[in-house]
Amino acid sequence: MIQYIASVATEGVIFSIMALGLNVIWGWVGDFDIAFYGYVALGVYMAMVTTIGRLPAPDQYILGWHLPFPAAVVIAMATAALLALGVGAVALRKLRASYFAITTLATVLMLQIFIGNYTPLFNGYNGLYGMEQPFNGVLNLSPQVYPFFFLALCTAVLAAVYLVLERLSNSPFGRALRAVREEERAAAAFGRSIYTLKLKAYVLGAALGGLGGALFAAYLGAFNPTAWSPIETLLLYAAIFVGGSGNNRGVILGVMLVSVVFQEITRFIPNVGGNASFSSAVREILIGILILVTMRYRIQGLLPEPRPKDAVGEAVAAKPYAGRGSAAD
Amino acid sequence: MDTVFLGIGFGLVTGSILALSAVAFTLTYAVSGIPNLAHGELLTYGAYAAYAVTRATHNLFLAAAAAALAGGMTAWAMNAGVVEPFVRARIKNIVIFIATLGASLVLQNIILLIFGGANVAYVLPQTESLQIGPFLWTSRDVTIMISAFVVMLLIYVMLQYTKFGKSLRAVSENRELARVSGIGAHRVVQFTWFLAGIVAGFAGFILAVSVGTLVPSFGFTFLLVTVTAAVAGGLGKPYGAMAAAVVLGLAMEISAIYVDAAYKLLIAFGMLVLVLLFRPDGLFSSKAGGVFE
Repeated sequence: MIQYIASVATEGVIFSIMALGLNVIWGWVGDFDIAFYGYVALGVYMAMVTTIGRLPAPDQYILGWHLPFPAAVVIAMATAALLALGVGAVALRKLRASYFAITTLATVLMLQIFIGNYTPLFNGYNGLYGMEQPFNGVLNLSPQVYPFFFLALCTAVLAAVYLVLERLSNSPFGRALRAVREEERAAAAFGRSIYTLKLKAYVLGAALGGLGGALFAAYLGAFNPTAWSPIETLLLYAAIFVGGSGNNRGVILGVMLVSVVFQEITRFIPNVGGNASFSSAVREILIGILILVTMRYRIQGLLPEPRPKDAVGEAVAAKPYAGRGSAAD
Repeated sequence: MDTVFLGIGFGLVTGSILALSAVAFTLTYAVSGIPNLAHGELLTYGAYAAYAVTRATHNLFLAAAAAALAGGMTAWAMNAGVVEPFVRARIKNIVIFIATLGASLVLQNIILLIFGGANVAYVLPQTESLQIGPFLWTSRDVTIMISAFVVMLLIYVMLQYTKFGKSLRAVSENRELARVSGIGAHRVVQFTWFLAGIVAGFAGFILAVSVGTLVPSFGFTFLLVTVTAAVAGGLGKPYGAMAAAVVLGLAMEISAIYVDAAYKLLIAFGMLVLVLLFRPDGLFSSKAGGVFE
């Protein structure tokens, strides 16, 4: 039982890191990016091909190195950031809102088809396996103890990510991003480069996705293209919407509620009438309804983004971010 | 040379199915201003309704009617239940767009709940191959193309010559202006969704007939191809969508001769990205530049 709790908690912590990254793109800047899980997946793949060495033929993939885990994490983050730089440089130039979203959806599906079919890259649809437990070569912990070490490791990473993001969120950079989100033209009129700001946030978010992916690789041990359909991005969004877009604490709360508690509770729905997909279908229907209800009635989420305050401590913005505006914009 | 004509032949079949789907997508965009990401599920619902009917009656005409009706009712419910309440609450378009993605998740899993995740197939009559000019089709392909063409013709007549068609065009230009001119804009929007659903449901049926099998994610897979055609045709422009759909269908099937067919969709999505980047107003538009929201 306690093993189970540790495993679920680890998953929650890793998802929190990913969701915090996505929140930079969606919560702070307001770009609805559907390609995000592609960056996570790339992080997973890169962490694997740089640590698992060579698997026996016919499995084939690039690199096949035996690097220590921290190096793999850095490579995973850098690769995800690089891909995001390419995608963002093209897509963020003049596409906004649903045009941008559709472009990113097309991008992630292209990536999925390409990785699935082009086997020399990451072994195609068969995927990769054989990831070792990070640092356990040195620590030699028993299988009963190691999950707790890994949970602690992930939690430490999450804490670091959280602290950095909190600082960034209140920095001039974070405020500029929100200005872009609220009124792009006004931000431009105040001399902000919209494109550069959006691109920086996009790359930062994707790098955190890659980081989450590298940890996820160690958690899962194996990975293939069926594990990262666009639906996975939507599940991360569901957590962000429920917790509170733009609020780091809200995002973590949302992940714990939606990706951990909700997912685990609905796991116990039995399959009815010989339909093996019954319980997962019920779960996804409930998540869809959760998204719709949140979008309609509580768009700011459970923990709304705090309003900017001036030196005296009075709220300076008239309205909190509520995702509302005229139907025309 | 023969293989090229074979590709063109396949392309025309794919293109005519795609044209129906893209017209339906673009019509709902025209009146509501939202790219409906649950559009694929209209095709899925049509296809599965037809599947249920063929199992009970083995009558393909009844199946086609059921597909159209199921698509129409689903689209009507989608608008009345999701899109319209959001539009009325004056919620940002991007949020409504996300809500349609949520609706897609719900609708797709309802099918999974009822029919399960396994492949199902229609029981179809034997088909013979027909050599028409340089093209080689099956009689089934020809039926698909003719029926799609008839539906498109009906849409054209409706848009150009009926009072409803005029109202639809007026609402898509400017909903408020149409309203103050005495057009029941709300009714027009609802009926447009219903109509688009009928077209999409039928498209789902002929797509399933053409592909042979269907799964709950069947429509979602076709969604982005549909979006590609609709965007290439200029969002909200039905005739542009039809033309772009045929071009896209041809491009996909002809390319499948030269590269691995697994990359067929990659080419379609690549085209979508290129169109969005360079001609976001549609291939046939003379306007250029600007930021697209």
